[in-house]
Amino acid sequence: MAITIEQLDNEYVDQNISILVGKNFILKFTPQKSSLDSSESLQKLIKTPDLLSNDLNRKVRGLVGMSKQIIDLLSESIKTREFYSRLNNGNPETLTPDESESLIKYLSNQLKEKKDEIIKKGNAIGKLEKEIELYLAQDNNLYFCKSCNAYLGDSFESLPSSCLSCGNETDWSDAQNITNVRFIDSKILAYLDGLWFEDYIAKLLNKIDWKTWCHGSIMGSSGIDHQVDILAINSSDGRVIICECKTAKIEKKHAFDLSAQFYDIKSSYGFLFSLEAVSNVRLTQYMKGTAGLCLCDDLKANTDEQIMVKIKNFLKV
Amino acid sequence: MNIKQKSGILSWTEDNIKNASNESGVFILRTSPTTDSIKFIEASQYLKDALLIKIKDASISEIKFFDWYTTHTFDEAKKLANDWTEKYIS
Repeated sequence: MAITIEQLDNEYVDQNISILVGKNFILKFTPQKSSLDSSESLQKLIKTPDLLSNDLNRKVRGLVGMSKQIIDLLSESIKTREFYSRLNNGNPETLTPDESESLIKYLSNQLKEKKDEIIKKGNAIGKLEKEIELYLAQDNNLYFCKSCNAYLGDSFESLPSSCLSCGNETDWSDAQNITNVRFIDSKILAYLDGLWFEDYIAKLLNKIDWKTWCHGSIMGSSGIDHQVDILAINSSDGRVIICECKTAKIEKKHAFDLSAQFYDIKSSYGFLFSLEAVSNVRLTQYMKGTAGLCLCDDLKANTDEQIMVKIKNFLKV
Repeated sequence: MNIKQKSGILSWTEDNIKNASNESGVFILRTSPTTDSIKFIEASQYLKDALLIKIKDASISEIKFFDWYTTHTFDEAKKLANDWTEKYIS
């Protein structure tokens, strides 16, 4: 066997470390925790056949977009609340009482509109989840002032005794005053913003008989730790791949970072996977002209089979 | 655990910090106004002073919101910070 894999987990509390030993290399791979490990819904998403060309992916993007909008609206509600509070406390002094009153009315309407929009988006998320039968969001208890509709927090501990803008004391022991809104939490949002693509590509590498580790660091021959998206090894012939996976636009820096990691780790190939097409001609020429570096771009509408063919073409000896 | 005073969630600005209490207590730093975005929970003997130092720290530029809680003693604050760290960050 060309490669021996040793799992070292007895001395490390938080992380499992794999030592990969081959004919000409020793690699220490330290994985990072991933939301995928604890979410069955994410696992179901990644296992979806032809995920990139599937309508499901577009709808998941919709869930992500609406969840981010809810978080933005909550943030805006706090900023509006703070302005409202300054006006309510007689500041700024440059406004006449009439101007101040009409501005308070306007801000009060703004707070109500934001709350209504948050509830509307939360309901739309729940509906879309039912449609695609994939439950990525969570129910969140949000606390809004009953009088002025300002957002005050999402945990009982953080709630002030009275509203920070109008001073009203809402009775939080009454469940009717708590607003339940469904949206995706920040950890899963971060995963769906980019890490999912690494797990998806790893799945395809597994299908063509490469063993993979995702989201971790590898110590290079220089002694420097490199963050790599995927480490893949082929046990039968001892070849090693490191991969960078990008869901956003690829820049020169990404290719050069991969190139530096590829040489320091002394892997057989360095793959750069991108959903978007790379338009920088010099960058594509650099990737084509450097032995061992492989660019797989414009993958956003590809089937699993099409991507696996592209990978296999690079791996032909 | 007796919390004497709570700020509520506030925007991460110097103006808001200047209105904070300078008693002992706990402060929470967040990237968004939801519990799952909590990045730091710390106990401090002087809340306002600690927050004024934090806001100058360029390494935590992702922080957008904060809240503070005063306690009767610094020991109570340390215990509260430990409990909340376990509950919200670990």
